[in-house]
Amino acid sequence: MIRIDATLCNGCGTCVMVCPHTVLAIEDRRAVLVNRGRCIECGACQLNCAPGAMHVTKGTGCLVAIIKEDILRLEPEGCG
Amino acid sequence: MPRYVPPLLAGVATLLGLAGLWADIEPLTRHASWLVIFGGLTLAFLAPTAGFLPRSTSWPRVHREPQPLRPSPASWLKAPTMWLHAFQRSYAVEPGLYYTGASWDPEAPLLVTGNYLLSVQAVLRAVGQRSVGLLVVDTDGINVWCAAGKGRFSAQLIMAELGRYDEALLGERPRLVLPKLSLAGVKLKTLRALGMNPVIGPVHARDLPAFLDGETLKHRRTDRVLFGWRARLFCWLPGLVQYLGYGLAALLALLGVEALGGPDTPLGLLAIVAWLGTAYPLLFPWIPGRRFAVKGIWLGGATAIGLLAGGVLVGASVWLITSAALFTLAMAIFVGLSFTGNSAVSNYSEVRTEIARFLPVDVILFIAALVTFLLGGTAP
Repeated sequence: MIRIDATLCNGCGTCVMVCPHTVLAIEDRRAVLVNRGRCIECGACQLNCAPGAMHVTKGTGCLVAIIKEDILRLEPEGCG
Repeated sequence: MPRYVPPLLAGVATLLGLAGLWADIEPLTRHASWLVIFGGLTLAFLAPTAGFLPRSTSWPRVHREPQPLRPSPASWLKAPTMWLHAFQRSYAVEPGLYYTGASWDPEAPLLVTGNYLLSVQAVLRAVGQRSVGLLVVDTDGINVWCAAGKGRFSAQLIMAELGRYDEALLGERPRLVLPKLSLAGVKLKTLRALGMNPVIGPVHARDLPAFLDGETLKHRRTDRVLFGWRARLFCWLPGLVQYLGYGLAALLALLGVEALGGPDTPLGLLAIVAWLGTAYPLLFPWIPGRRFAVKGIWLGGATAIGLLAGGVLVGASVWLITSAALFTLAMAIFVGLSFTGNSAVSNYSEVRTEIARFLPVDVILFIAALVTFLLGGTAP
């Protein structure tokens, strides 16, 4: 899930530039979700949001990663 | 799957086949040909990855000067192997600073990438004859996006790699061109605080020349990941190889069942696996449904109906065709769920929900297919 705290957003636009799926845009000096359905929850916007306005349930949408990390609770290691 | 499992299975299959050829041991002798051919081909396919770099290996990092990056012909030969083993880490590039062109040029753009061999090769292909610097970060042989998502491509790792070189090599506030996909792990603010000047590069390496010729802010905002036919084709063969490996494991288990008096080993299982492993990624956008498992149900359902009709026409056993239909549906859902990891468009929360909803159903379908198959073997 992705959520923007409009009270914290300063409209710098970093989230727009780091998003790999053009989910966000700046409207009226605030970040807004323009393509919510495209969001894969990679967390790039949250990591790079200086005022902490972006909230993302960050994770990897991958069967193996979810089984390993969320179900078996193994350390994340990514894959090739 | 642990790395030793595929060669172990292939070796066992080949040895069983050879035993069946040399001595009259049923059912090995009856299945000797496919065991030798399939097992042998798998072993040959796995052989090039014998030089795999284990996780525990730390690079020697002996160089204190940037090195020229001129890949040998052997390194380009590794590329197809890497492609087929895309879900394993067969080869990696030694992390560090490199340059193209005649010598290190502090004024040349400094591109950053991971030490996944195909990432480095993609950057090299894109820059062509240009003179650039390349910082290869130790991502454990993992591609940029996956590494960034798992904390293996970060500002700290970039700084750790740069830290072993003389600061004079890089100049004041060096400009680092970061792949856009690294930003799920790289915090720009941290790099700036540590004296770097990070800039957001393109998503795809092929766009580097245009970017280096004068990127625009508009471009940075609209540059995004596309999951087109090229990307799906890239995913197809490694996925197919993986699924066929699972198919071989299942066949070996069923061969053991046959040896104990069970039904004949169904070699057609591999054909079903190959079809689903090919059709799903290639037809992905056109299969109905938004969720991955639902797409699997559509593809598996259509294939199962075809199998049922074909089975009835040729007068196959009801048990066998029912088992084949159940297996097809189960395998298609599994392929769909597995494809979440290959796809660039899978949302974490949605995939979690899908797994919770469809994985138990899938396990039940696989068990039902096995039980039906075994019952068919004992039915009069």
